[in-house]
Amino acid sequence: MKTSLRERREAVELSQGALAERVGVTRQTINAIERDRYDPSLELAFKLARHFDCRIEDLFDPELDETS
Amino acid sequence: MLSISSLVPPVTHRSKYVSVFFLAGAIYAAFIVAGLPLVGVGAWVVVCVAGQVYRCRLDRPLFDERDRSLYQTAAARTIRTLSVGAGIVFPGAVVFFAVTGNESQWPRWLFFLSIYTMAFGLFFTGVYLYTRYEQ
Repeated sequence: MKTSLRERREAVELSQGALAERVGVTRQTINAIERDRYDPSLELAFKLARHFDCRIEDLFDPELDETS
Repeated sequence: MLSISSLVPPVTHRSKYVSVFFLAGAIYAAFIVAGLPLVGVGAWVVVCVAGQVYRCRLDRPLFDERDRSLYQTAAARTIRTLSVGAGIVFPGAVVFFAVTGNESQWPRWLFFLSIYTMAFGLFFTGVYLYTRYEQ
């Protein structure tokens, strides 16, 4: 699943660790999501969307994933 | 300017936490080899408790949903590997010993392995049924 998480995070000059702390996960999880290695749970997707004040569809786009 | 410290990745809290349990295991094994098993158990408990205290005092999660997902995937692969392995090894062994005329010559380790595998399979089936009932 493609994501714009890294772009949005870097736009507000937030580190992976700081974002992880704010949404209650580990830095490794944020890193894995940004590298398309892990699809977050619905709960975490909501938390991330809420944090960036956007919709989940704005952060994650399954349509762009050519492998699934 | 690059320094050596900038090239070495920082030791994370997770690494430290996991290292504590490797250390506990090493200490435990060392005391057993030294002929002091009870001291080994005591040291193992102390180090494990220290690891838990370290975890509880952190202000951030050490493990999260991704770790649970990895754990589930690893567990599923383990079960599948054991199932496929047992499905090949044990029938194969029966055929092998029947063909070679050594039906009574099953190695003892293979007998115990088959019992263990059967018990493991029954246990897994029980846990699976309970989990299905629960969810």
